[in-house]
Amino acid sequence: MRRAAEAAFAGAKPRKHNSFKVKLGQETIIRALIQAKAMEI
Amino acid sequence: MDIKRISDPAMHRIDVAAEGLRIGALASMAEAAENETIKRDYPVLSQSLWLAASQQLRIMATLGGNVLQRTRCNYFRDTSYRDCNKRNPGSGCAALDGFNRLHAVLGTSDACIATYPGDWAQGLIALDAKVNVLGRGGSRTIAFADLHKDWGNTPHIETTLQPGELITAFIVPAGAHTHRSLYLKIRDRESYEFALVKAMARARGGGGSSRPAIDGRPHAPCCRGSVRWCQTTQT
Repeated sequence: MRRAAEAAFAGAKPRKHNSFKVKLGQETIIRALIQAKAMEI
Repeated sequence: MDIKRISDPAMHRIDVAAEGLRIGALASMAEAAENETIKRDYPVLSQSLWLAASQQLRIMATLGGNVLQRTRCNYFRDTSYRDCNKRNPGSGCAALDGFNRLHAVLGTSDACIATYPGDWAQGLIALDAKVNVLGRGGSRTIAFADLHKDWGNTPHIETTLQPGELITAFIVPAGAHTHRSLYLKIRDRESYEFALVKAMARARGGGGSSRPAIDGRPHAPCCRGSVRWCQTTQT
């Protein structure tokens, strides 16, 4: 999941005030994947 | 222009069938969010709606209008800023060197770093939805992912709609993956706030792989160069 999250943001171009979004976005992906896997079939 | 008085009932209706959903473009956000089938079988759609706007706005707003909403970039909205390639093509982008905390990190260009503010569109992307469009040349159906354009050097052109065309319906195909889908919206405030980051994920039933999509606030809903579809292995 970490590799997927990092790959998703490989092309990110942060600016002066929004570089925090890269890490935040990666962690959000991981959280989404974990929650999706846990959903009942 | 308010087109909610168009009397075609199909444009106001949510139809549920074994092969999927047909959601009229004039159905309200609230109607779709509260639909029991959507909540149970297409949770990413319901969640993306519940996390958007406020209940007052969801009652009034149509789904077709929602997907066409424009950016909340303050340099676009405030016309006192001359440099905005959306409003004034070729003038530049004031956000590049301005206060850009809420601006995009993915899918940007030197012409524009504005974000796409919608949530419902992300759910449609996650479930490979299509959109029916009606215009002077007749009707056509396109992948929803093809509705919004990559802005590149022409951020003033935001969609592939032709002049005079209307969105009439959204088509969402059924599948095992729709049941295990979700939407995450990370923002400064718990409600009534635009996202800093959004993520959608769907997982197949009984094994297989999960498939995330993210919106690190690109200029358009996760599509083409702005999305990274990654396969991960369920354990």
